[in-house]
Amino acid sequence: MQKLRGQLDEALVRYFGYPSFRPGQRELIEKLLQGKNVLGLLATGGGKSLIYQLPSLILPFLTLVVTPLISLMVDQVQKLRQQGRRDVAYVNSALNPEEVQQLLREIRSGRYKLLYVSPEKLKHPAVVAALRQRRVSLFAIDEAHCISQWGHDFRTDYLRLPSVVEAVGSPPVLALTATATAEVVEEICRLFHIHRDDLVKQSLNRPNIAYDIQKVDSEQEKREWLLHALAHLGGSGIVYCSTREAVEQVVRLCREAGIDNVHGYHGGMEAMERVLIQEQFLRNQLRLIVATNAFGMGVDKPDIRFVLHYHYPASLEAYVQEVGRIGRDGLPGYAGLVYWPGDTAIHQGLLRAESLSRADVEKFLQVVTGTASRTISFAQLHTELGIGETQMRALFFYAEQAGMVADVVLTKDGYVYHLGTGEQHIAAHRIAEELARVRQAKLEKLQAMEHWLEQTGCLRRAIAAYFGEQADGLTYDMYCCSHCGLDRSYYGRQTGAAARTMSDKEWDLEQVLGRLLGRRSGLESGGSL
Amino acid sequence: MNQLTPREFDVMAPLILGGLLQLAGERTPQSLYYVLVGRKANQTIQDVHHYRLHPYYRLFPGFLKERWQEFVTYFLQSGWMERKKAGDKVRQLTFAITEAGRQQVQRGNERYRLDYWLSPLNGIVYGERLELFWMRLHLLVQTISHLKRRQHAFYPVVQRKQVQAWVKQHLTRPLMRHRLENDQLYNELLEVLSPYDKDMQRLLVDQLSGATQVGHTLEQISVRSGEPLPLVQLKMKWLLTRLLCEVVEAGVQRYPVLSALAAVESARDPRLSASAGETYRLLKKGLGIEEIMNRRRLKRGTVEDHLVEIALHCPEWDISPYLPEEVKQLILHTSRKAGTKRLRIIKDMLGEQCSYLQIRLALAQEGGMMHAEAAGPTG
Repeated sequence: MQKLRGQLDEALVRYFGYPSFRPGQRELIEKLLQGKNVLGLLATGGGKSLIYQLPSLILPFLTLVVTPLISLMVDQVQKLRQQGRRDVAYVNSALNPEEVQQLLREIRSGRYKLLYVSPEKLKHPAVVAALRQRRVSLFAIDEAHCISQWGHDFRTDYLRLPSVVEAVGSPPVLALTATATAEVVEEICRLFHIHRDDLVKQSLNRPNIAYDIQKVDSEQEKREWLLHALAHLGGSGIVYCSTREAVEQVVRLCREAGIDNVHGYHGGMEAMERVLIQEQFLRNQLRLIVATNAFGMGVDKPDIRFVLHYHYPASLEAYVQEVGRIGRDGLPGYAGLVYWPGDTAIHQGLLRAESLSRADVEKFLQVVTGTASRTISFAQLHTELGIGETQMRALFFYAEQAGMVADVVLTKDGYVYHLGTGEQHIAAHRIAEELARVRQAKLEKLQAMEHWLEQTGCLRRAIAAYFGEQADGLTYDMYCCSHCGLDRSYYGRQTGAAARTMSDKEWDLEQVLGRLLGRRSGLESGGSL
Repeated sequence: MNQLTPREFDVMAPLILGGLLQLAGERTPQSLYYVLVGRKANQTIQDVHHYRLHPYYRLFPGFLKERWQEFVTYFLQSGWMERKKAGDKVRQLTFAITEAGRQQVQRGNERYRLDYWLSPLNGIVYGERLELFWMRLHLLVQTISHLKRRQHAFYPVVQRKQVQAWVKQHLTRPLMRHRLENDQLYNELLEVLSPYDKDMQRLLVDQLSGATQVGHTLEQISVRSGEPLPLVQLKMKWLLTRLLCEVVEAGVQRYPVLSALAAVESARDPRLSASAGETYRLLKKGLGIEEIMNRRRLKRGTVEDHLVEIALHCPEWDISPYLPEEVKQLILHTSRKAGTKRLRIIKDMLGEQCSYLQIRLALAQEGGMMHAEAAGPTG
């Protein structure tokens, strides 16, 4: 044990450059290396990735990381490669079949020690077979709360994970999540055979964040609040909105008010544009990002000083995740939310839009059973049923559970499947019931969020209580929350340097190009992307 | 491009009306939408050729359908456009652009020089190639910028894997590496950009990323310059098209690095879709429509679509077995006389003298020819 400790400390310094572990990290790693299944409840920014990246350097075979976030896996693999690790890779649906084949060959040959995989890929028998052949030393599951049907982010593909763990020889399981209520924790532990003693919990409390809620009576007042806050806050920050349209409106509002160093960010924008904005933000070229919840995952910026919510999120889990991006450097930060009860209409609307009726389910089953080729493209399902990809995934999952279809495989073009033996009428009933239950769970999350906004007690304590933590003795650095009293002006003191734009007169092609392309300073040999 | 400000609308409205003008009386307004987003369907490609909409093709790939509807509704309400029947026997509706609508187009040209920015654009020929050229350039600049400063760790601005692989591959070629080490890219960019105004140079260079700067988005450039976003987008397309043409014309001798960025490496005929390319290959081997249908297990309609595509893009193809010269002349004459390119009307006039396929082939070949002439020596 002593020897192992020394080994871990050495690896930490050598590969990661950190002098010591953060709370919970060592405990989780040691338990894993003893062969135990563990669950880590770690705050956003609490250093989750280190818990599987470090053992992957020590363990003999493959460390597998299941994550639904493609951007996160691409990002982490890119960073690790930049640091010189060549034994990392990822498998997800964005790869074409030839690339997947090539990767599977390399996996079997033992080229990788750390492999990221998206959950839907584990449905393919060929992938599981390659993993079994390579042997898996550690099975890490990121965003483990996705397995819970009561969670705020239920993903049907996660329900298959326990059987995949068995199929690859039952290696130790590391389940990780930032946000899980007591009942979700219970479910994760039950499904992955995790002992109560092997639950490692970092307190969700973030002492350096102050919580502020401002209740208003109209959209107009929201805008005024936002502009006032932006004019007074210092440093860089994010404003979250619920819809793409709102993002564009808020950006326009800011620009009209003379705040130019701002950009919108949402899933509907071009990939290159999104990378540029993210990089500008990281390098402090851009001070303010107005975004949907598409922004933030995998963005590792330590000095975000504030997060504002122009709309409140659909759950407290989402809220904690979003404000958790504030102040990872440990310095004080501000979480401000402008609460207009009328915004509930947006959430109700989104819930309605994604909910499926009994008639939808029946029509879906008709299309599926009536398609002779047993292949359905996204476009076809979309035209015939008017549903999105998330809904398709759910429908196929429940249809498979109800025995209507079997061997469902998701390809780049759509779903390929066989027909099952289920009876259509009974299946439709069952599927509709399941869907109603999921919808109900989401509704309850929304109500919990709204309850938190309406209650008058300490905001910090109420968050802790929701996640089943001790609500007594919570510490904070400067201010706690608007209900306990806070001085907003405190968060306006340090100001970020404003990006200066060159006037056309100063701008010179030769100069700018020369600087950009580092003229006559020689290209270093052996450089790579 | 979602909700438009009045100033953005002020650019978009005449731009779209200008495209609609070409289609008035012949097609539905919707057809221009498909042209703008760059749909690959044969019908859309034919529209581009028949009605000379090359600059409009793939001009706004992300244009939302809802926005399009709003434009059409607005045009109708403003009296710039009217719904109209296409002909006596045809039920399908088309539209007309009113005098007020024409004035809008005129105003857009005067105010923003839209006709000037549009003129060199050709989405059919350059569409995807332009994007590829730009992404390769962007990533190569970023890579060199970092390598020169011995920074190996950077986040690639271009995420598309083929582009990353392309840059990687070219950086390992000794000759290319030698050139890059000797500031060849810097020299070429300086040379190719120097004839342009400063704001044009800046439009491009501001977007580039490297060790000293993160590129700006077009939206940011539009805020800085005070020009409406669609106009900035249009100017960027104009500039890239001009640069690409210049590089291709001047050739490898003058621009070795930029020429490599502009090159298209593809085994298949770049003029055709993959499937039509295969059909063309079989045609050249002497197979007929029936044989191709059987061999490739395709429907007749699909193979006929391929023939039309080939007629459009491959002037060297001997069309006579499918369309005797005299039938072709008859069709073209009829089309000109009736002042229309609508198949139904021409077919009604000619009856059994020709087939629908022959009409399509004749119009397609004519459209392709016209375009080849228009593109002529000036490129």
